[in-house]
Amino acid sequence: MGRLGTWLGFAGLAIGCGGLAPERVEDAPDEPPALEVTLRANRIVFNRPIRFADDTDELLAESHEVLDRVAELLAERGNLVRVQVQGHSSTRGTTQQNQELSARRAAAVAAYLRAGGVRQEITSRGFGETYPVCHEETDDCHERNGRVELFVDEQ
Amino acid sequence: MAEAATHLAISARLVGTPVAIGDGIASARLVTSAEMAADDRGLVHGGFVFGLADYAAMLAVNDPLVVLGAADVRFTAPVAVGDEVLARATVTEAKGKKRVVAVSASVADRVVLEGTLTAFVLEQHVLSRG
Repeated sequence: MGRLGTWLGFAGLAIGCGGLAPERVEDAPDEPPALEVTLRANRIVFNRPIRFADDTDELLAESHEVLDRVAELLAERGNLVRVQVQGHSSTRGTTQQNQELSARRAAAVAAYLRAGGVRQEITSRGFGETYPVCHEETDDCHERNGRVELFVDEQ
Repeated sequence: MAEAATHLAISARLVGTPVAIGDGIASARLVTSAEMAADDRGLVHGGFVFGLADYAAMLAVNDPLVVLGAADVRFTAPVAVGDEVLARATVTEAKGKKRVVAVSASVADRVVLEGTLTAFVLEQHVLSRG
């Protein structure tokens, strides 16, 4: 593969070889972790999932705090000009249902952010079950696959 | 899944295989092997993880003439021989020839690499340019 210009990843490569300790902090059972919403490269990451009522695009109240913090972060970052909301589903249900549900959930998150005053352009897309993050037939894996991810574009 | 239109000659053994390819998004997986080890403890050299993330990013752009121009990545956790690494890539910006791609790679639910790659879609093959 051709490489043009500087490969900034080289610095990280040396670190990657040695390996850094994971940043994840083990949580006490039954207690949600302290909410963290951060910008990492072109991705907004949060340590609590965005959850919906079963088989609907109705955001659970517990996820409002996550999205409110996302809105705060976006308000603080004037250099971010666009937000892409991605919806992904588990493999439970039919492919078509999952595609539609993931799109509706992504749209619901986009609508919540707009209603919360986010000024950046927001787009939403559903990808259904096409891009799983795990493949086990467990509740935990299905929950992880049914997710919403947020990406941003800098000015 | 869309067909891969780029990096058709690349080694699946070294950089992984596509899992899914769509419009501006792709994922690829790599099962790490002993030849990728950097030491006798089985720590995988970061370059192989980067190679997988790079491959996923190129598949997200999925143009035969795409090349990588720059990368800004963080290695957030070690990878061991035998780990299956899943890389996901999303194009977040497309302006002219430039494509900005957000990438992350994970082993199970542990993120091992994340960052941004900048690619360019050229008008002719990079090796054909004078």
